[in-house]
Amino acid sequence: MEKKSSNIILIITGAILFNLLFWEEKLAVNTLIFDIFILTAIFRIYPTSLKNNTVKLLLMGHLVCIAMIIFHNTLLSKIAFSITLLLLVGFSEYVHRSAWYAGGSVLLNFVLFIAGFFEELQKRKQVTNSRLRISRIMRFLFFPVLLCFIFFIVYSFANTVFADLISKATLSIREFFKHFFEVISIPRILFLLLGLYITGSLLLKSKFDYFSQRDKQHNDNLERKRLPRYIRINKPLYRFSMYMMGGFGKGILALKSENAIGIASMLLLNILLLLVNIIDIKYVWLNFQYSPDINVSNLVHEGTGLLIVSIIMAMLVVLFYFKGNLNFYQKNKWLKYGAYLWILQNAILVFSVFMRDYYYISQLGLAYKRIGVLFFLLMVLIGLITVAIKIYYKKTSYFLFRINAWAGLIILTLSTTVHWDEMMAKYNLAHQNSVTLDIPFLLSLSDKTLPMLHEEIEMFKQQEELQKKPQDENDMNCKTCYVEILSKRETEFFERENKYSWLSWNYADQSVSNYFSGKSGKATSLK
Amino acid sequence: MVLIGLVFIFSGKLSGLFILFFLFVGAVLLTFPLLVLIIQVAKISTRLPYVLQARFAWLVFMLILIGVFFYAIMGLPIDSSIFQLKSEISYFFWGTTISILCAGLFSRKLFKKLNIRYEQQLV
Repeated sequence: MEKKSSNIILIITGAILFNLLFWEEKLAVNTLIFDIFILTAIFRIYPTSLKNNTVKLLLMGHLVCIAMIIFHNTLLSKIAFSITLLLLVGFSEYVHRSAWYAGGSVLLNFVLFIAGFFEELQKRKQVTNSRLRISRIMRFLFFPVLLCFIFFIVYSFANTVFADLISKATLSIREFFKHFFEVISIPRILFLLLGLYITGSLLLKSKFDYFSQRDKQHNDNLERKRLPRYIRINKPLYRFSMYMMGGFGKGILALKSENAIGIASMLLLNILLLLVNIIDIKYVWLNFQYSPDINVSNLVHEGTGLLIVSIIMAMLVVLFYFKGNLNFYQKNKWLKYGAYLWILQNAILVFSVFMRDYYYISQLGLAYKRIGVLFFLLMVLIGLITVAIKIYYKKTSYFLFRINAWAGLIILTLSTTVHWDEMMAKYNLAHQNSVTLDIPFLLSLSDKTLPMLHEEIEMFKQQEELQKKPQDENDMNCKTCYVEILSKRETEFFERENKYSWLSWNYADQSVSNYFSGKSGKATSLK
Repeated sequence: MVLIGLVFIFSGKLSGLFILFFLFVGAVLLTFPLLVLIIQVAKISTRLPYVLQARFAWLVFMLILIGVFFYAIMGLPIDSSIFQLKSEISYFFWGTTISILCAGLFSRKLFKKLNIRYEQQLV
């Protein structure tokens, strides 16, 4: 009971801390303080979790993310921080191997927090055994208040003096509440409740461990199953193959027929993809020459779209054929070769899209989606390798999704260590003679790039003179007034920063502030 | 909506009573489809592995969440600041939330009966 009551105290302390640290602040050094509290509380409530190697690895990744929040303060680092924290909670509180199921368990924590919290409160209540209940008082008061309300309406219509008196009283009450809410604002109370909800959901384990149980039921290695016919015929995939193959899908010939159809499918798909790849190798890999007539943007987008469809199809086809006993069929050699070739061809397709993206970047510079495509290609490549591993080592789909989730998580964590906005600005400005500069895009990048952009003010002036139209002179939302936009962004940065306290301190903002302080004394120092 | 009617009554107009009645009927018709969702949530609450009071608190919380989503879908296109006190529509939302809390407070016995019936069905 003592431990249970300390859980409630921890949750309430966390809620108050959340309110004090994050109210009208941004995620920065305050996140570190809150994170220390949450992690300490988790490892206090669930002490055995620290012995788990997965938790240790996740903790390392999470610490990288929190360091990056303070160092770079990018949106990506904040997203990665949230994801790693949630998974850390999932793996600490439940027994899991898969990040997907751990995510499900944390989701259940959030959905069932209210029930868990009230159960904890109920247990405490039983100890104190208070007989005075608010609901009882309210029940007693309900009927008299209703009666009063009806007579109140009748009297206010019947007696004008009474109506006047009531209107004065209403005004006084309104004034009282107005002053009351000036001192204790409702948004602040709601923010406190949000803090309670978030802290509670992170610390309180739900009693419904559905995802943990599901996770335990899965294996990495495929096992040969000899299911009785009455069970087999009720499976949807069996019904589908029966529908497709008819009589060939029945009895001892089923596997042989499935294998033959699989080989035929792989052969046709490989020929089809081979044609696409030959065209790509000839025109994109070897003979690509940029001319202004080619829309590089369309070239990349079309290629990526094709790749997504192809990869999803490849995964589904491979998962369909290698779902069960066909993995153990002795004459599946050609089907396996077909699948490997199909995977290899998809890898070539990945490289084709990479080449398209490379041309795109070399012509138009770096941008979010262009970098996003590179990450997508990396994930696809890992996906293809794991599919090949699945076939070769006879692994389950559970293994495939589990490994890919971890790969995604590692890539996400590593990607937080780079300030992508800064990198994009640096690259595009350094290559301004060879790439077409998208100045509105550069001016929309995060605050960390402001010093870099400020250094290029002469270039912005020249571009402005070249691109400005006469009607832009009087336009309030002038899109070609680059110097003005940059100056406005610098002013807004300092206005914003001055509103924050030391809780929002981060290295990225501090370096921008230092730059401008040293430059012209324009900046006021950060708190 | 009922609040608008009450405002009319307080401002001394008898027509407020009629407005109150029509708005009440309108509100019932508008929120009627939500019953499907509410029934499902109530059913789920009876299956949760928690004590009765905790299940009940969860149900009330979910009803408030349904209210939030309902106002977000219906109100956000009209007024983007619907959940802020400066918006007049926010009074509807707060009125609904308080009503759910009050309704919850007075229907605990009913909820207990629902749970007992569900447990009997299980046996």
